[in-house]
Amino acid sequence: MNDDQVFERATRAFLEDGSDRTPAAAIDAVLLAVRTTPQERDLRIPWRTAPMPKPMRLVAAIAIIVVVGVAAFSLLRPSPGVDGASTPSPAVSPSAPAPSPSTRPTPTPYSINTPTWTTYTSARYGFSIGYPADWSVHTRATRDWTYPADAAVNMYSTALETFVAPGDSIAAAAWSVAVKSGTTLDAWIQAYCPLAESPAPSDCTTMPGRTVAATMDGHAGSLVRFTQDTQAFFLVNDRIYVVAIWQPEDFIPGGVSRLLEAYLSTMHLLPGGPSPSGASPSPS
Amino acid sequence: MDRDLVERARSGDQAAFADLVHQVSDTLFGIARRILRDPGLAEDVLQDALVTIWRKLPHLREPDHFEAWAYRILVNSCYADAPRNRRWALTVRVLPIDRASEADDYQSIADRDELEQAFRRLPLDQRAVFVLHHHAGLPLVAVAEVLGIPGGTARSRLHYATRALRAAFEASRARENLREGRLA
Repeated sequence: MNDDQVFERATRAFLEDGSDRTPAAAIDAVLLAVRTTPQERDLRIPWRTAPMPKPMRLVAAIAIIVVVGVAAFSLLRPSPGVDGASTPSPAVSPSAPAPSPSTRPTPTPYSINTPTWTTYTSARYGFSIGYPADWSVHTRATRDWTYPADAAVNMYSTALETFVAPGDSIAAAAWSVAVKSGTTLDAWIQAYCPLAESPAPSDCTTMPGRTVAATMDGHAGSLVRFTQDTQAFFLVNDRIYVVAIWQPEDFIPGGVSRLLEAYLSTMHLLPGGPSPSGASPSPS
Repeated sequence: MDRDLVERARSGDQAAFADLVHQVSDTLFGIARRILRDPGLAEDVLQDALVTIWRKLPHLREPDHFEAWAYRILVNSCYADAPRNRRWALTVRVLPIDRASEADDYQSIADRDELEQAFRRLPLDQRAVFVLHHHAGLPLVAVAEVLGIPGGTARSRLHYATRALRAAFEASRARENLREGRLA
Protein backbone atom coordinates (compact mmCIF):
# COMPACT_ATOMS: atom_id res chain seq x y z
CA MET A 1 0.00 0.00 0.00
CA ASN A 2 1.53 3.33 -1.05
CA ASP A 3 1.50 6.58 0.94
CA ASP A 4 -1.52 7.97 -0.91
CA GLN A 5 -3.56 4.91 -0.12
CA VAL A 6 -2.52 4.94 3.51
CA PHE A 7 -3.46 8.59 3.79
CA GLU A 8 -6.76 8.00 2.03
CA ARG A 9 -7.59 5.12 4.34
CA ALA A 10 -6.72 7.12 7.44
CA THR A 11 -8.79 10.08 6.23
CA ARG A 12 -11.74 7.85 5.49
CA ALA A 13 -11.51 6.26 8.92
CA PHE A 14 -11.30 9.69 10.50
CA LEU A 15 -14.36 10.90 8.60
CA GLU A 16 -16.44 7.82 9.32
CA ASP A 17 -15.79 7.98 13.06
CA GLY A 18 -18.88 8.26 15.28
CA SER A 19 -22.62 7.86 14.87
CA ASP A 20 -24.82 9.85 12.51
CA ARG A 21 -28.02 8.90 14.27
CA THR A 22 -29.93 12.10 15.01
CA PRO A 23 -30.98 12.22 18.67
CA ALA A 24 -34.76 11.75 18.88
CA ALA A 25 -35.06 14.78 21.16
CA ALA A 26 -33.62 16.98 18.43
CA ILE A 27 -36.21 15.82 15.92
CA ASP A 28 -39.02 16.22 18.47
CA ALA A 29 -37.86 19.78 19.18
CA VAL A 30 -37.83 20.61 15.48
CA LEU A 31 -41.29 19.21 14.89
CA LEU A 32 -42.60 21.10 17.91
CA ALA A 33 -41.02 24.31 16.64
CA VAL A 34 -42.54 23.75 13.21
CA ARG A 35 -46.00 23.71 14.75
CA THR A 36 -45.54 27.31 15.88
CA THR A 37 -43.41 28.57 13.01
CA PRO A 38 -45.19 30.01 10.00
CA GLN A 39 -43.69 29.43 6.59
CA GLU A 40 -42.53 32.47 4.66
CA ARG A 41 -44.73 33.50 1.80
CA ASP A 42 -43.27 33.20 -1.63
CA LEU A 43 -43.99 36.58 -3.13
CA ARG A 44 -41.90 36.21 -6.25
CA ILE A 45 -43.75 36.73 -9.51
CA PRO A 46 -43.18 33.81 -11.84
CA TRP A 47 -41.38 34.83 -15.01
CA ARG A 48 -43.21 34.32 -18.26
CA THR A 49 -41.58 31.48 -20.14
CA ALA A 50 -43.54 31.56 -23.40
CA PRO A 51 -42.97 34.61 -25.66
CA MET A 52 -46.02 36.86 -26.09
CA PRO A 53 -47.27 37.22 -29.69
CA LYS A 54 -46.98 40.70 -31.29
CA PRO A 55 -50.74 41.49 -31.47
CA MET A 56 -51.04 40.60 -27.77
CA ARG A 57 -48.14 42.90 -26.95
CA LEU A 58 -49.90 45.76 -28.78
CA VAL A 59 -53.14 45.12 -26.89
CA ALA A 60 -51.25 44.98 -23.59
CA ALA A 61 -49.45 48.26 -24.37
CA ILE A 62 -52.74 50.02 -25.21
CA ALA A 63 -54.31 48.65 -22.00
CA ILE A 64 -51.42 49.94 -19.93
CA ILE A 65 -51.63 53.40 -21.54
CA VAL A 66 -55.39 53.58 -20.89
CA VAL A 67 -55.00 52.52 -17.26
CA VAL A 68 -52.18 55.01 -16.63
CA GLY A 69 -54.14 57.78 -18.38
CA VAL A 70 -57.28 57.20 -16.34
CA ALA A 71 -55.25 57.07 -13.12
CA ALA A 72 -53.43 60.30 -14.00
CA PHE A 73 -56.69 62.07 -14.85
CA SER A 74 -58.34 61.11 -11.60
CA LEU A 75 -55.29 62.17 -9.58
CA LEU A 76 -54.73 65.52 -11.32
CA ARG A 77 -58.43 66.57 -11.49
CA PRO A 78 -58.99 69.53 -9.14
CA SER A 79 -60.87 68.56 -6.02
CA PRO A 80 -64.16 70.38 -5.22
CA GLY A 81 -62.70 71.97 -2.08
CA VAL A 82 -59.71 73.66 -3.70
CA ASP A 83 -61.23 76.96 -5.00
CA GLY A 84 -62.87 78.27 -1.86
CA ALA A 85 -65.89 76.02 -1.81
CA SER A 86 -64.64 73.87 0.97
CA THR A 87 -66.38 70.67 1.74
CA PRO A 88 -68.19 70.90 5.06
CA SER A 89 -66.40 68.87 7.62
CA PRO A 90 -68.41 66.65 9.92
CA ALA A 91 -69.34 68.40 13.13
CA VAL A 92 -67.29 67.31 16.10
CA SER A 93 -68.87 67.54 19.50
CA PRO A 94 -66.30 68.49 22.13
CA SER A 95 -68.36 66.80 24.77
CA ALA A 96 -68.35 63.42 23.09
CA PRO A 97 -65.11 62.82 21.23
CA ALA A 98 -65.19 59.77 19.08
CA PRO A 99 -62.30 57.47 19.82
CA SER A 100 -59.77 57.47 17.02
CA PRO A 101 -59.25 54.04 15.53
CA SER A 102 -55.51 54.57 15.75
CA THR A 103 -55.55 55.16 19.48
CA ARG A 104 -57.98 52.41 20.33
CA PRO A 105 -55.97 49.41 21.48
CA THR A 106 -56.43 46.32 19.40
CA PRO A 107 -57.45 43.42 21.58
CA THR A 108 -54.86 40.70 21.86
CA PRO A 109 -56.17 37.19 21.31
CA TYR A 110 -54.45 36.08 24.52
CA SER A 111 -55.82 36.83 27.95
CA ILE A 112 -54.09 39.71 29.69
CA ASN A 113 -56.60 39.66 32.50
CA THR A 114 -53.84 38.81 34.93
CA PRO A 115 -55.99 38.32 38.09
CA THR A 116 -57.26 35.11 36.48
CA TRP A 117 -53.74 33.84 35.76
CA THR A 118 -52.09 30.92 37.47
CA THR A 119 -48.96 31.57 39.54
CA TYR A 120 -45.78 29.61 38.92
CA THR A 121 -42.85 29.72 41.33
CA SER A 122 -39.30 29.12 40.23
CA ALA A 123 -37.15 28.46 43.28
CA ARG A 124 -34.18 27.84 40.99
CA TYR A 125 -34.34 31.34 39.55
CA GLY A 126 -35.86 33.13 42.53
CA PHE A 127 -39.13 34.47 41.22
CA SER A 128 -42.81 33.79 40.86
CA ILE A 129 -44.65 34.62 37.66
CA GLY A 130 -48.19 34.26 36.39
CA TYR A 131 -49.30 32.67 33.17
CA PRO A 132 -52.74 32.56 31.52
CA ALA A 133 -54.95 29.87 32.99
CA ASP A 134 -55.42 28.16 29.63
CA TRP A 135 -51.67 27.98 28.98
CA SER A 136 -49.57 25.10 30.23
CA VAL A 137 -46.13 24.70 31.74
CA HIS A 138 -44.10 23.22 28.92
CA THR A 139 -40.69 22.96 30.54
CA ARG A 140 -39.60 23.23 34.16
CA ALA A 141 -35.96 24.24 34.37
CA THR A 142 -33.85 21.29 35.42
CA ARG A 143 -30.51 23.06 35.17
CA ASP A 144 -29.13 26.59 35.45
CA TRP A 145 -29.12 28.89 32.45
CA THR A 146 -25.50 29.67 31.59
CA TYR A 147 -23.81 32.31 29.53
CA PRO A 148 -22.78 32.05 26.72
CA ALA A 149 -23.79 28.43 26.05
CA ASP A 150 -27.50 29.08 26.47
CA ALA A 151 -27.56 32.54 24.92
CA ALA A 152 -27.89 31.12 21.43
CA VAL A 153 -31.57 30.69 22.04
CA ASN A 154 -32.95 27.22 22.17
CA MET A 155 -36.60 27.73 22.88
CA TYR A 156 -36.95 24.24 24.23
CA SER A 157 -33.95 24.35 26.50
CA THR A 158 -34.32 22.62 29.83
CA ALA A 159 -32.70 25.68 31.43
CA LEU A 160 -35.89 27.68 30.88
CA GLU A 161 -39.21 27.89 32.67
CA THR A 162 -41.47 27.75 29.61
CA PHE A 163 -45.21 28.30 29.21
CA VAL A 164 -47.09 27.45 26.05
CA ALA A 165 -50.41 28.74 24.74
CA PRO A 166 -53.11 26.33 23.60
CA GLY A 167 -52.26 25.06 20.16
CA ASP A 168 -48.58 25.83 20.73
CA SER A 169 -48.96 29.05 18.79
CA ILE A 170 -46.83 31.11 21.15
CA ALA A 171 -44.62 30.46 24.16
CA ALA A 172 -43.17 32.47 27.02
CA ALA A 173 -40.04 31.69 28.99
CA ALA A 174 -38.36 33.09 32.07
CA TRP A 175 -35.00 32.56 33.70
CA SER A 176 -32.29 34.40 35.58
CA VAL A 177 -28.53 34.31 35.75
CA ALA A 178 -25.96 35.69 38.17
CA VAL A 179 -23.56 38.28 36.79
CA LYS A 180 -20.34 39.83 38.00
CA SER A 181 -20.71 42.72 40.36
CA GLY A 182 -20.58 45.99 38.44
CA THR A 183 -22.13 44.60 35.27
CA THR A 184 -24.67 47.02 33.83
CA LEU A 185 -27.93 45.97 32.23
CA ASP A 186 -27.12 47.67 28.92
CA ALA A 187 -23.70 46.04 28.71
CA TRP A 188 -25.21 42.64 29.39
CA ILE A 189 -27.94 43.07 26.78
CA GLN A 190 -25.36 44.19 24.22
CA ALA A 191 -23.28 41.10 24.89
CA TYR A 192 -26.34 38.87 24.78
CA CYS A 193 -27.92 40.40 21.67
CA PRO A 194 -25.54 39.09 18.97
CA LEU A 195 -25.74 35.61 20.46
CA ALA A 196 -29.50 35.58 20.78
CA GLU A 197 -30.32 36.19 17.16
CA SER A 198 -29.17 34.49 14.02
CA PRO A 199 -27.95 36.27 12.02
CA ALA A 200 -26.77 38.73 14.65
CA PRO A 201 -28.37 42.16 14.26
CA SER A 202 -25.97 44.86 13.10
CA ASP A 203 -27.33 47.35 15.62
CA CYS A 204 -26.86 45.45 18.87
CA THR A 205 -25.03 48.37 20.43
CA THR A 206 -27.83 50.85 20.08
CA MET A 207 -30.89 48.87 18.98
CA PRO A 208 -32.67 52.08 17.96
CA GLY A 209 -36.42 51.93 18.24
CA ARG A 210 -36.33 48.40 19.52
CA THR A 211 -35.77 49.03 23.21
CA VAL A 212 -38.31 50.52 25.58
CA ALA A 213 -38.45 50.86 29.35
CA ALA A 214 -40.15 48.12 31.35
CA THR A 215 -40.95 47.45 34.99
CA MET A 216 -40.99 44.25 37.01
CA ASP A 217 -41.81 44.08 40.73
CA GLY A 218 -40.79 47.73 41.11
CA HIS A 219 -37.50 47.31 39.22
CA ALA A 220 -36.75 49.21 36.05
CA GLY A 221 -35.49 47.33 33.05
CA SER A 222 -35.57 47.14 29.28
CA LEU A 223 -37.91 45.47 26.84
CA VAL A 224 -36.27 44.63 23.52
CA ARG A 225 -38.15 43.78 20.36
CA PHE A 226 -35.77 41.42 18.63
CA THR A 227 -36.43 40.35 15.07
CA GLN A 228 -37.62 36.92 16.03
CA ASP A 229 -38.86 37.38 19.59
CA THR A 230 -39.54 39.91 22.33
CA GLN A 231 -37.63 39.87 25.63
CA ALA A 232 -37.45 41.93 28.82
CA PHE A 233 -34.35 42.25 31.02
CA PHE A 234 -33.88 43.39 34.60
CA LEU A 235 -30.79 43.65 36.75
CA VAL A 236 -31.42 43.15 40.46
CA ASN A 237 -28.71 42.38 43.01
CA ASP A 238 -26.15 41.22 40.45
CA ARG A 239 -28.62 38.96 38.77
CA ILE A 240 -30.22 39.36 35.35
CA TYR A 241 -33.86 38.31 35.08
CA VAL A 242 -35.20 37.62 31.61
CA VAL A 243 -38.73 37.05 30.39
CA ALA A 244 -39.18 36.23 26.72
CA ILE A 245 -42.07 35.72 24.37
CA TRP A 246 -40.96 33.54 21.49
CA GLN A 247 -42.63 35.49 18.75
CA PRO A 248 -41.84 38.82 17.06
CA GLU A 249 -43.69 41.97 18.07
CA ASP A 250 -46.20 41.91 15.21
CA PHE A 251 -47.14 38.28 15.70
CA ILE A 252 -50.37 39.14 17.51
CA PRO A 253 -52.73 42.09 17.11
CA GLY A 254 -51.87 44.70 19.69
CA GLY A 255 -48.26 43.58 19.84
CA VAL A 256 -46.39 40.91 21.71
CA SER A 257 -45.05 43.59 24.08
CA ARG A 258 -48.45 43.94 25.72
CA LEU A 259 -48.54 40.26 26.49
CA LEU A 260 -44.98 40.43 27.79
CA GLU A 261 -45.86 43.43 29.98
CA ALA A 262 -48.78 41.44 31.37
CA TYR A 263 -46.35 38.68 32.29
CA LEU A 264 -44.03 41.20 33.93
CA SER A 265 -46.88 42.66 35.98
CA THR A 266 -47.37 39.25 37.60
CA MET A 267 -43.70 38.64 38.32
CA HIS A 268 -42.28 38.94 41.83
CA LEU A 269 -38.82 38.20 43.14
CA LEU A 270 -38.66 35.72 45.99
CA PRO A 271 -37.40 37.30 49.23
CA GLY A 272 -34.68 34.69 49.67
CA GLY A 273 -33.50 34.93 46.07
CA PRO A 274 -32.81 31.86 43.98
CA SER A 275 -31.99 28.56 45.59
CA PRO A 276 -28.22 28.05 45.60
CA SER A 277 -27.20 26.27 42.43
CA GLY A 278 -23.98 27.95 41.39
CA ALA A 279 -23.38 31.29 39.72
CA SER A 280 -22.82 31.58 36.02
CA PRO A 281 -20.13 33.77 34.56
CA SER A 282 -21.05 37.18 33.31
CA PRO A 283 -20.67 38.08 29.63
CA SER A 284 -18.87 41.28 30.51
CA MET B 1 -35.93 12.26 -2.29
CA ASP B 2 -39.71 11.94 -2.63
CA ARG B 3 -40.77 14.87 -4.80
CA ASP B 4 -44.40 14.62 -3.70
CA LEU B 5 -43.34 14.81 -0.05
CA VAL B 6 -41.31 17.94 -0.71
CA GLU B 7 -44.18 19.55 -2.58
CA ARG B 8 -46.64 18.79 0.20
CA ALA B 9 -44.26 20.13 2.83
CA ARG B 10 -43.69 23.20 0.67
CA SER B 11 -47.40 23.90 0.69
CA GLY B 12 -47.47 23.80 4.50
CA ASP B 13 -48.22 20.13 5.24
CA GLN B 14 -46.55 19.58 8.62
CA ALA B 15 -46.98 15.80 8.52
CA ALA B 16 -45.19 15.67 5.16
CA PHE B 17 -42.41 17.81 6.60
CA ALA B 18 -42.12 15.44 9.56
CA ASP B 19 -41.60 12.55 7.11
CA LEU B 20 -39.06 14.61 5.26
CA VAL B 21 -37.19 15.37 8.48
CA HIS B 22 -36.99 11.67 9.29
CA GLN B 23 -35.58 10.99 5.84
CA VAL B 24 -32.88 13.67 5.80
CA SER B 25 -31.98 14.34 9.42
CA ASP B 26 -29.30 11.65 9.78
CA THR B 27 -27.53 12.79 6.63
CA LEU B 28 -27.66 16.43 7.67
CA PHE B 29 -26.58 15.62 11.22
CA GLY B 30 -23.65 13.62 9.87
CA ILE B 31 -22.49 16.51 7.72
CA ALA B 32 -22.86 19.08 10.53
CA ARG B 33 -21.09 16.79 13.01
CA ARG B 34 -18.15 16.35 10.69
CA ILE B 35 -17.83 20.01 9.82
CA LEU B 36 -18.13 21.19 13.43
CA ARG B 37 -16.45 18.23 15.19
CA ASP B 38 -18.89 18.61 18.09
CA PRO B 39 -22.05 16.45 18.29
CA GLY B 40 -23.80 18.81 20.71
CA LEU B 41 -23.23 21.82 18.54
CA ALA B 42 -24.13 19.82 15.44
CA GLU B 43 -27.45 18.96 17.08
CA ASP B 44 -28.19 22.64 17.73
CA VAL B 45 -27.21 23.56 14.19
CA LEU B 46 -29.33 20.78 12.76
CA GLN B 47 -32.36 22.07 14.67
CA ASP B 48 -31.79 25.61 13.42
CA ALA B 49 -31.31 24.40 9.88
CA LEU B 50 -34.42 22.23 9.84
CA VAL B 51 -36.61 25.03 11.18
CA THR B 52 -35.10 27.38 8.56
CA ILE B 53 -35.78 24.78 5.89
CA TRP B 54 -39.40 24.64 7.00
CA ARG B 55 -39.75 28.44 6.97
CA LYS B 56 -38.13 28.88 3.58
CA LEU B 57 -39.59 25.85 1.81
CA PRO B 58 -42.13 27.92 -0.14
CA HIS B 59 -39.18 29.65 -1.85
CA LEU B 60 -37.79 26.35 -3.16
CA ARG B 61 -38.51 26.39 -6.90
CA GLU B 62 -37.42 22.88 -7.81
CA PRO B 63 -38.45 20.11 -5.41
CA ASP B 64 -35.89 17.87 -7.09
CA HIS B 65 -33.15 20.15 -5.77
CA PHE B 66 -34.33 19.83 -2.17
CA GLU B 67 -31.32 17.91 -0.91
CA ALA B 68 -28.72 20.33 -2.28
CA TRP B 69 -30.78 23.27 -1.06
CA ALA B 70 -30.99 21.72 2.41
CA TYR B 71 -27.21 21.18 2.44
CA ARG B 72 -26.69 24.85 1.71
CA ILE B 73 -28.95 25.93 4.56
CA LEU B 74 -27.20 23.50 6.89
CA VAL B 75 -23.72 24.70 5.98
CA ASN B 76 -24.82 28.33 6.40
CA SER B 77 -26.15 27.42 9.85
CA CYS B 78 -22.76 25.86 10.64
CA TYR B 79 -21.03 29.10 9.59
CA ALA B 80 -23.46 31.15 11.69
CA ASP B 81 -23.41 29.08 14.85
CA ALA B 82 -19.87 27.75 15.09
CA PRO B 83 -18.11 30.99 16.10
CA ARG B 84 -20.43 31.53 19.01
CA ASN B 85 -19.96 28.07 20.43
CA ARG B 86 -16.27 27.69 21.04
CA ARG B 87 -16.70 25.05 23.65
CA TRP B 88 -14.49 22.17 24.40
CA ALA B 89 -15.64 19.02 22.65
CA LEU B 90 -14.80 15.71 24.17
CA THR B 91 -14.17 13.11 21.52
CA VAL B 92 -14.74 9.57 22.63
CA ARG B 93 -13.44 7.03 20.24
CA VAL B 94 -14.07 3.30 20.23
CA LEU B 95 -11.67 1.18 18.25
CA PRO B 96 -12.51 -2.34 17.16
CA ILE B 97 -10.65 -4.69 19.49
CA ASP B 98 -10.29 -7.76 17.32
CA ARG B 99 -9.18 -6.26 14.05
CA ALA B 100 -5.68 -4.99 14.24
CA SER B 101 -2.53 -5.47 16.20
CA GLU B 102 -1.73 -3.27 19.17
CA ALA B 103 0.85 -1.37 17.14
CA ASP B 104 -1.66 -0.74 14.36
CA ASP B 105 -4.19 0.53 16.89
CA TYR B 106 -1.64 2.85 18.39
CA GLN B 107 -0.77 4.21 14.97
CA SER B 108 -4.43 4.49 14.11
CA ILE B 109 -5.12 6.52 17.26
CA ALA B 110 -2.13 8.74 16.61
CA ASP B 111 -3.16 9.31 13.00
CA ARG B 112 -6.71 10.17 13.89
CA ASP B 113 -5.68 12.49 16.69
CA GLU B 114 -3.35 14.28 14.34
CA LEU B 115 -6.02 14.49 11.65
CA GLU B 116 -8.56 15.64 14.22
CA GLN B 117 -6.34 18.48 15.39
CA ALA B 118 -5.43 19.48 11.85
CA PHE B 119 -9.06 19.41 10.78
CA ARG B 120 -10.11 21.63 13.70
CA ARG B 121 -7.49 24.16 12.61
CA LEU B 122 -9.04 24.40 9.12
CA PRO B 123 -11.38 27.29 8.37
CA LEU B 124 -15.03 26.25 8.25
CA ASP B 125 -15.33 26.89 4.52
CA GLN B 126 -12.52 24.40 3.81
CA ARG B 127 -14.03 21.87 6.19
CA ALA B 128 -17.40 22.18 4.43
CA VAL B 129 -15.91 21.48 1.00
CA PHE B 130 -13.89 18.55 2.35
CA VAL B 131 -16.88 16.95 4.10
CA LEU B 132 -19.33 17.47 1.25
CA HIS B 133 -16.86 15.99 -1.20
CA HIS B 134 -15.32 13.14 0.79
CA HIS B 135 -18.15 12.23 3.14
CA ALA B 136 -21.36 13.20 1.30
CA GLY B 137 -19.77 12.05 -1.96
CA LEU B 138 -20.68 15.14 -3.98
CA PRO B 139 -18.56 15.90 -7.03
CA LEU B 140 -16.74 19.23 -6.75
CA VAL B 141 -19.09 20.86 -9.25
CA ALA B 142 -22.03 19.94 -7.02
CA VAL B 143 -20.17 21.10 -3.91
CA ALA B 144 -19.62 24.48 -5.57
CA GLU B 145 -23.29 24.65 -6.48
CA VAL B 146 -24.42 23.77 -2.96
CA LEU B 147 -22.14 26.37 -1.40
CA GLY B 148 -22.84 29.01 -4.04
CA ILE B 149 -19.16 29.43 -4.89
CA PRO B 150 -17.22 29.15 -8.17
CA GLY B 151 -15.88 25.72 -9.06
CA GLY B 152 -12.29 26.99 -8.84
CA THR B 153 -12.86 28.19 -5.30
CA ALA B 154 -14.24 24.81 -4.27
CA ARG B 155 -11.23 23.13 -5.84
CA SER B 156 -8.71 25.38 -4.08
CA ARG B 157 -10.45 24.97 -0.70
CA LEU B 158 -10.33 21.22 -1.10
CA HIS B 159 -6.68 21.44 -2.08
CA TYR B 160 -5.71 23.51 0.97
CA ALA B 161 -7.69 21.27 3.31
CA THR B 162 -6.15 18.10 1.90
CA ARG B 163 -2.66 19.59 2.02
CA ALA B 164 -3.05 20.56 5.68
CA LEU B 165 -4.42 17.14 6.64
CA ARG B 166 -1.70 15.38 4.67
CA ALA B 167 1.02 17.42 6.35
CA ALA B 168 -0.40 16.53 9.77
CA PHE B 169 -0.69 12.88 8.82
CA GLU B 170 2.88 12.71 7.58
CA ALA B 171 4.13 14.45 10.71
CA SER B 172 2.33 11.84 12.79
CA ARG B 173 3.92 9.04 10.77
CA ALA B 174 7.37 10.59 11.07
CA ARG B 175 7.02 10.90 14.83
CA GLU B 176 5.89 7.31 15.04
CA ASN B 177 8.85 6.11 12.96
CA LEU B 178 11.18 8.02 15.24
CA ARG B 179 9.58 6.45 18.30
CA GLU B 180 9.91 2.96 16.84
CA GLY B 181 13.55 3.69 15.95
CA ARG B 182 14.28 4.68 19.53
CA LEU B 183 12.58 1.59 20.90
CA ALA B 184 14.30 -0.74 18.46
